[in-house]
Amino acid sequence: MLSELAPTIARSTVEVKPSELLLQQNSWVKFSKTWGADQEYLANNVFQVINQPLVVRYPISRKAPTGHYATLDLSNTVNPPSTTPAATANFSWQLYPIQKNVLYQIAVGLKKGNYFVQTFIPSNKYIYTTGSTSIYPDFNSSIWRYLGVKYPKDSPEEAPVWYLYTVWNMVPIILELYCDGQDVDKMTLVFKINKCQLKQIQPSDPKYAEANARAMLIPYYTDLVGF
Amino acid sequence: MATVTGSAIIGTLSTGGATLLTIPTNMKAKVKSMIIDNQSAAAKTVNLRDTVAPDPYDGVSSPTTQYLARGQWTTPKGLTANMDKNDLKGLEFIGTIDVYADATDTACVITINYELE
Repeated sequence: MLSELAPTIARSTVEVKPSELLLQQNSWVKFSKTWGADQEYLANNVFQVINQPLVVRYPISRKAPTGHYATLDLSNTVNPPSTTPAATANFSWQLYPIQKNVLYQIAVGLKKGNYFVQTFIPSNKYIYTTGSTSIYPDFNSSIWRYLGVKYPKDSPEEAPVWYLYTVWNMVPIILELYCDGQDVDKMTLVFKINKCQLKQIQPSDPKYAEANARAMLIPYYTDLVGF
Repeated sequence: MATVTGSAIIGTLSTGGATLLTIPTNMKAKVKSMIIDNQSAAAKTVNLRDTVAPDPYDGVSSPTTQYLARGQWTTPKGLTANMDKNDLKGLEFIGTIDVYADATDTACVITINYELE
């Protein structure tokens, strides 16, 4: 559902070639066994990318006053209005596949600015927090509002190291963009959507053992919390 | 994304403001240099404002437009003021760059060079 490179690996990899971080044709992915009811066909199964992936650039900007946040729902839950999207706060930005057996690998690049991003999967679940139940990210707190946030320097637009993974009908990924600077700032996230078509590798397939061992594991959000 | 550079000029100043540059949706503008050529008969005071229409944010579905003062300069009559990137360091806009003057004037011309990123 999301992945991030450790800082040392990120630095060395970025210096080599960031585009190599994207899934390619014939790449293997495996979904953890905890994937939910609408994705049972994925759970604990191994897939191969069968197409040459298509990368779609999708920049989204939000302008908000300091001390406030704008919400981005990346799912397909609520269709955008037919008029200018900025006129309506409550819609989804449509970064999910519309059918099964498609995986969107989304590199999230943050343009420079005085803001940070808090992540929820789904809308009421903090992903980046400690295991303690005594603290949690809270925009109303001058201390805990910074817990687990991503700054532009953590995944810069030019070399993103923060990845989200979406499949059809998955629970919403919610990003809240908090302005933390002077008066009003423009907060721009550049999503690069690597659209991958998947085909399951059956256990009877001769290459299953190797694929199962070497595939990139895609966790469900429940794998990312509670520890 | 590559940096875009350009220049913009305005030759009719007014107290109600005039737009010098409209900034694209996903970019910010940094003013790198500015020339105020005041050939009018009086000193001219101008200020630059960033006119910003915020998007919906927490608890506010229809935010009001904000007019953010970013700097003010007075140029004596008959003189030209030149400011470079060091003088203008940190001068950044996200909406539109609007010029407001202390009086309507057609003899004072403002030119900026900017970068969009």
